[in-house]
Amino acid sequence: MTAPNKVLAGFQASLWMQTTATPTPLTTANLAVWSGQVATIVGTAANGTGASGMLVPVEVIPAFGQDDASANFMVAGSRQSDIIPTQSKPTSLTITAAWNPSDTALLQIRADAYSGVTDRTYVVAAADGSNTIAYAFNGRVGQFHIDSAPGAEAKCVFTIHPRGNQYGWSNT
Amino acid sequence: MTVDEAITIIVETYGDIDLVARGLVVDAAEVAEATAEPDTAQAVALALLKKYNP
Repeated sequence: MTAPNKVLAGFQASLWMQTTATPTPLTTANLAVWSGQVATIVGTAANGTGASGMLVPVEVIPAFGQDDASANFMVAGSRQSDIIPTQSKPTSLTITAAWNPSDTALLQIRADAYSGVTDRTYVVAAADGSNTIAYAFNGRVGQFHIDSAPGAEAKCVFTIHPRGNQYGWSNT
Repeated sequence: MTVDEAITIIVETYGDIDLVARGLVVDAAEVAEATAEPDTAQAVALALLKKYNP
C-alpha cells in the first residue's frame, strides 16, 4: 500500500499517542518507519495495529509542521530587499477536546502536563480507505486547561510542544 | 567507522539525524554497497549516509 493520492478531508485525520505513564518515544529514524513502529501507535481505524497507542479524542487536528522565522537584509542601491529563512521551532499544537474526566488519553495528557518532562510519541494519521499517511513526532505537554463555561459542554485545552528535529513521515 | 556502526548511531539518536549523518565519517564505497530493508530505521539511516557520502 501507499500514501493516499487524493485531496483529503480534514476529518480524515486523527491523533494518536503512546500509552503508559513512562513511554519510550520512538527514535528520530523510527518516526519515519510505519511497519512495527508508527503503526503500533496508530489504531486499526487508521490502518495501524494500535498495540501501544490510543486515540486522543480531539475536536480538530490543529496546524502542525514548522514555524516561520526569517531575517531581512537590505542592500543600498537595490530596489528590493532580501529575506531568508532562519532557524525556527516546530509548530506547537494547541488542541481542544471535549472533557470527559475519566478518559484515559486525557488523563495521561493531564499527567504529562503536570510533569512537564514526559517525552511521548504522537501521530497524526490521515486515512483514506486502506491507505494512511502519518506524521509522527515526539513532544511534551506544556499546558492543560479546563474550560467549563456554562454555555457549552466542558472542554479541555492542551498544548503539545514537539521536540526539535524529532519527527518523521511514513505511510502504509 | 563502519557503515553498520554509523547506521546504529543514527537509528538510536533522538537528535537531528540529518546533522548526525553529516558528521559521521564512513567509506563511500562501503556505503554504496550497503543495503537495508525498505521501511526500516536502517533504511532511513542508510539513505542519509548515501546523501552525504556519494
